[in-house]
Amino acid sequence: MSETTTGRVPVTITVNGQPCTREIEPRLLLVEFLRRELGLTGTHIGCDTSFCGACTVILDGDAVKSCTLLAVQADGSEVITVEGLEGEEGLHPLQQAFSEHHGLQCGYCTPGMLMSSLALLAENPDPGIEEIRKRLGGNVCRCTGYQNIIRAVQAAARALREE
Amino acid sequence: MYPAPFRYHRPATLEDAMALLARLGDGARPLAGGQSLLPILKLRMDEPTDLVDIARIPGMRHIDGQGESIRIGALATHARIAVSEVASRFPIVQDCATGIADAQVRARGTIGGSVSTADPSCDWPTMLQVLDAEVACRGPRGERVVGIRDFFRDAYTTALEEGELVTEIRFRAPPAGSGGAYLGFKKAAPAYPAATVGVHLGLADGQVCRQARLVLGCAGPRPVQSREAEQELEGKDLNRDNLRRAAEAIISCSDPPSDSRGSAAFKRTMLHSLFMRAAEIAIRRARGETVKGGTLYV
Amino acid sequence: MEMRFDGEFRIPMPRQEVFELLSDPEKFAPLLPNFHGLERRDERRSNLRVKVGIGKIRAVASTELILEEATAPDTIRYLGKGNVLQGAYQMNAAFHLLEDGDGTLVRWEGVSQLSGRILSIAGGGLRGYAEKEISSVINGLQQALSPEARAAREARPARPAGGWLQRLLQFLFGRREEAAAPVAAEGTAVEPPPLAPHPEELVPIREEAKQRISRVLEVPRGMPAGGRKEDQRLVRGKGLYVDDNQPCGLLHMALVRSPHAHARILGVDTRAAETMPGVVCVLTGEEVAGMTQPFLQIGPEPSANIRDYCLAVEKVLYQGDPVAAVVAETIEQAVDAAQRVEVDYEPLPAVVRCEEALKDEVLLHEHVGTNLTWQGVYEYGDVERAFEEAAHVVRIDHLRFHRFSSTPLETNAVVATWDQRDRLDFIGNTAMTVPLTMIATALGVRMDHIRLRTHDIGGSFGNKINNYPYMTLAALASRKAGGRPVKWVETRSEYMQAGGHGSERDYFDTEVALDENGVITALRSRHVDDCGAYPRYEPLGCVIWSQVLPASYKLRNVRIDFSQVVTNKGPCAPNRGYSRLPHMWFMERVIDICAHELGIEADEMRLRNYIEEFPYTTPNGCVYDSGDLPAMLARAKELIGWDEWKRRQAEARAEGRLIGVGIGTTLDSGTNNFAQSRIINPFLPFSGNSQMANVKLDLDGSVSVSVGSFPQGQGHETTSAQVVAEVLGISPDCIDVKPGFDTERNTHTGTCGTYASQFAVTGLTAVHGAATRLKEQMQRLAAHALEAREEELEFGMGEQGPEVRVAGSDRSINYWALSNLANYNTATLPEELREITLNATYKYTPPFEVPDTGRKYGNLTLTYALQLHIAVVEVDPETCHVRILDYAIVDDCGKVINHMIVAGQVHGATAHGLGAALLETMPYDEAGNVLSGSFTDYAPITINNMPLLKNVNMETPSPFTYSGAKGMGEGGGAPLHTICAALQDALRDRGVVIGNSHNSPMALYDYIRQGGGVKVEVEHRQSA
Repeated sequence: MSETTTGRVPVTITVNGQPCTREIEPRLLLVEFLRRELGLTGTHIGCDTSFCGACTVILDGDAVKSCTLLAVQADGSEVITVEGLEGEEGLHPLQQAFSEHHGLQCGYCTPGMLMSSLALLAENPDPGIEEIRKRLGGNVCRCTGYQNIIRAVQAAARALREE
Repeated sequence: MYPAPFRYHRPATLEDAMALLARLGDGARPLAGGQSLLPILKLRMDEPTDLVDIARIPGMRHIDGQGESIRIGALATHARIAVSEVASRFPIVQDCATGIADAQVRARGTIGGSVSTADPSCDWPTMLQVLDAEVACRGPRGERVVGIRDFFRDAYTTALEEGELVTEIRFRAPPAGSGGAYLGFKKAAPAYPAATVGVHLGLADGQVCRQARLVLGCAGPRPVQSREAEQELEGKDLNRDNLRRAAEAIISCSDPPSDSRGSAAFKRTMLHSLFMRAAEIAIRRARGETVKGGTLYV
Repeated sequence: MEMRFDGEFRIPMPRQEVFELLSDPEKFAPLLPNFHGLERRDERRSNLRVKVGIGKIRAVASTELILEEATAPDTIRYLGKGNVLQGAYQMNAAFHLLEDGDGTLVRWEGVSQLSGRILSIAGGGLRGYAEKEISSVINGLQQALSPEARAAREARPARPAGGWLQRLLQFLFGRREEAAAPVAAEGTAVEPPPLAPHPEELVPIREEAKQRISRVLEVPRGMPAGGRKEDQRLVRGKGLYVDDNQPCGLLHMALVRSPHAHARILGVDTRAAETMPGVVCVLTGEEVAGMTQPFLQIGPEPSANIRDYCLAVEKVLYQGDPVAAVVAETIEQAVDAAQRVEVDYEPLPAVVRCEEALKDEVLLHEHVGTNLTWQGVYEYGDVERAFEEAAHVVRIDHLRFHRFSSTPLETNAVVATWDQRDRLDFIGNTAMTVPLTMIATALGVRMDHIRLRTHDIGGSFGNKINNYPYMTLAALASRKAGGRPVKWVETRSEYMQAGGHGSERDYFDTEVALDENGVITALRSRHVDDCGAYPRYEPLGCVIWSQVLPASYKLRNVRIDFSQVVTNKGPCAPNRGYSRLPHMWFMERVIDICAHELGIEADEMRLRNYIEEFPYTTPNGCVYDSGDLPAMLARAKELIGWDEWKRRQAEARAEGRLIGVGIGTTLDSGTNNFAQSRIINPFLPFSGNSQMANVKLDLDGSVSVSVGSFPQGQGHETTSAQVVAEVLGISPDCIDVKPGFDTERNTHTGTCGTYASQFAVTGLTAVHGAATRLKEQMQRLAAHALEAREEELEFGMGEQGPEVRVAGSDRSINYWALSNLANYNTATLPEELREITLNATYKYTPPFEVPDTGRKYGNLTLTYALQLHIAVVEVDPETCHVRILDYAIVDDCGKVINHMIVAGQVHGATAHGLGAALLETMPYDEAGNVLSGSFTDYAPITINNMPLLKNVNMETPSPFTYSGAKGMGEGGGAPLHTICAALQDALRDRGVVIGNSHNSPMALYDYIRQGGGVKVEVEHRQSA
């Protein structure tokens, strides 16, 4: 084995309800763990300085940037990715709302946007525009100009409130 | 962008962490939330031999906001501080905690990490200096408490000695009839601020300044504070002229670098504008009004 | 960044002794502060290692120290160069020794150059500290030679010099080696302590947070009502972007990029990298130059001779120019090894401004002999006479359009496989049209042996056309690695240095002739485009702007002298609104500056100058198809509440507040006539444009569509299905549109693709044509099967899905049965129906002609969507912060095919324009260092900076397209024009002329303090 792979450490991370155990290099980023080790490629990488938020996932209940975390830091934790949003009977209300309100175009930022929005709605069931801005300020979208993302989040909030 | 290889340690106790750091020497770095460190490692601006993950050490994430002595554990995250009793009691804390980076970073980043990083554009160092905070540190030679002004030595440089860690931030609750505000300008949530200002004013009779604490951020290698500027206000009427004089006095002590966030002259102008706004908010808060502060996106 | 130091000091030491000390690095280096080691290489060269850094950011700077001159007894010169913190530095130091009694006077001077990414990290905030570090080295040297230091040195017990140094080196290097091999030291010997679990106290915090999430996660699921077809996968994280492909045996490529903007490559040492773990192979510029032809150049002689390879050969021409590629088993290993490639550079002076480039004093491509890539004059009407007859002449000395980029969130990327059958397979995210030609000719491979696929693309906005050098490189890497697939994914930091930014343009000596009513009658100007280090696609930018030569205005006399130069900056690529956007920004600036100078209101000025009759033939022969500009202006004014804002503006002004209202009118020209490239290079055998589509009825009766486009978020699957569904009278849900692109589908032509706002016209017309052909075939078959006449048949949805039926009867045939007839049941068909394939292809060719290249005259594009924006801004008089108080948009793209998608494109184009106008810029310093080296420093527009937009559509159908639709995706950059106009309006009383396209508060602040930059003169003449 090469010198860069010898120092592997065991980690167990519960991803979308499934405990996953791997031996990994300590320097492996959480986003790479999800994408490379688990094949969950819905979580994207858009920058390298923790700016764009395309890599946002839920870690133990909080939206976090998975490119700014080592997988070993998530050892023993629970992660929810975009792949964990849908169910057998269909899509989560946020996914539906993003589609219905055209809150996405190329789709690259969308998983991160959805996860940040999920964390927002968990804390605020009826967010105003300012609150949405505050919580999605760390997610860049280069296609939509954010107009329809705001609409989609508000529509999803409505749908969730009605349930 | 991937960090260079390193060894990873995750001690269960503070004692183990300190022993590890002492043993591993200057190639090791403590890792808490990692929100400042990880981008540096990914850009390979630093290639430590070892990371000592201190995030699971117990007893360092408390936020004690009652009473006169406020204590915040080094591992308390910005997000938890923002919704804590400390933040609701002292709006200046809320201004700062809610304005740091973006929601994702706030969920992971810790106050201890921010203070230890001592980035000239970090928010906590500037805000905590307004509150005359103290930094409790533990190291191989035991515990010591360092006044915040003595804690920051230079950009990215603190009074921490090898193997020493920040364990707690402490400050005394500002007295009734006082108010503070912390304001900053930045382009976007995850961008660094271009200028920040913290102001805390104690009022007598609603108009005369009893005590002033004025600190500028992003204005030099360390937070900029000036006793002379504070004395321009203390014992005086808080009118615009006096405020302006204080602003000029403190800004004359600043040395903001010209960079992609603005020329030094532009940054001084921003500092002036922020100062006047922050002072106005601080005065209104001292009078018991509820006013919004925090980051302005421009 | 250049720093100069000098000084003198006296030391009580004889001159000869000082000379011996200073001319021997082994003697003086250990005296330096933070000395880390020295290695003698030969008589003159040694490697010096000094520890540098600030606080926690610490690194060892490795310097090659060359003794350039040691002339006893008085002159010593050193050249030091090396790398630190992802950057490079070079230092020249000279010492002159003068006898001064029994001592020596040392006069020294030093020049130090720092370059590379370090200068852009943390907003360039580290710059000051770098300066501090360098001065501390020089100060250290001075101190080392001071009497105190000398005394201390002399007090030290004498030791053999070699032995002392040896031990020191052993100590220092020994430690360093230990650091380089971290795990070997501990992993084997000591059992590592266990990793701590979450502490008890975290349990309630984590539980609370998880429950909060559960409440919004554990909710009933459902299916969206409406939405686009592509959303079905994209909202589920099931999009397939380049980096998501993980073929078996995959290797990864990392690049070594130049920290210098301009330097000669003296040597590339890959030996250390090649022995690193996991490394499969390394490629260098010299090697690729031996294996490939230089990329084709679009421009004519002499710039046709530019040698552009996928790696830099002989010289690097911009910061970030790739010098070597390392291929390894994992990306981490590739990056680790890339760090160990040693490149020896001789820095050269950098050219960063077009004015300097035009002087040709420093040449980028030396054998070409000039930095000018193209020059030509576009002249129409009688400009001289119009100026003679003018009532007013306005002269504007210099306007400037800045460099920025739409920065698609997915960077350039490719997976390349050069397989054992000698065929190439690319999974990429770029267009086919230009890249495939470039790659095939560079590699000398038959085009049909190259398979190019795109799946989902995370935005492109034109930028990704410059991916082809990297695709070529990845292909070569795959071949060298024995045919294993090689993946390259550009990092964002790489993108910021090299990833295809939009080009810059300067406008010099503009003169505008106006009549007594403020109607512009003529314009003359000199424009210089700066396309960065390699022209690549850019020569076409020298003509594409002329699609909108007079913008929205009716002037007939124009003379524009257009040039393009190369500079030591990242190579440019098309960027949303490509080439037309800078020109329309210029025209809108001209309109507003003239209005301002003549005291005419901005809306009135436009009404006097707008083109009124459509179709309108411009002075250079372009045909604007349809529109109603005065009606758009009226609609936009109504939408924003023009009169009310004007009233509030006057009130605010009285209070000393600065509110401005600005109008921007722009055109989005769609569907390129490629023949215009002949205006740039008469030898290019191009004309027209085309696009292909295929619609087929499959064996199971399903309808599937394939189009020769490379969608990047524009919803081509949705609109294609919509068009086919309309033709067949069925639901779009019944139609499958193949995602992405694949050359092996054979539904492409040479010029097909997603560019030039063309899909709504070329793509959908092709889809419509193919669907119509399929319908005709189905109709013939159905008539036979149902024993009816074709005229009696109707298409639509039956109880069991899509069907063809005999009108007014219960006789019908479903699609499966129809397909079965043509595929399995052919013996039942009469001879004339046996040719039916139910597989219909259609090629759409827009009705273009070849332009007159001599006169630069002809129709260069098919449709013109119109946009009219109005912004209300407030400028903080102190900080120059700009707040958008209101923003209204009227968009006319002819017949709207899908309102949701059109609105989305309008929003997106507006965000790009606002970002560029107020936030986004890619500045370089004088030495060619990128100053916006990361997303954090560039700060693309976020939700916190975006105002809520008011937008409406007007529809004046295009007479030139089957549906009346026009392309509209690029948007023409209206916000840039609009924000500049609004700022001009806000600051008019202060005498500020907005002369730059970028007006961030900091730019505006410095600009205003420098007196508003642009010089404008007005000459009012007596009317004849």
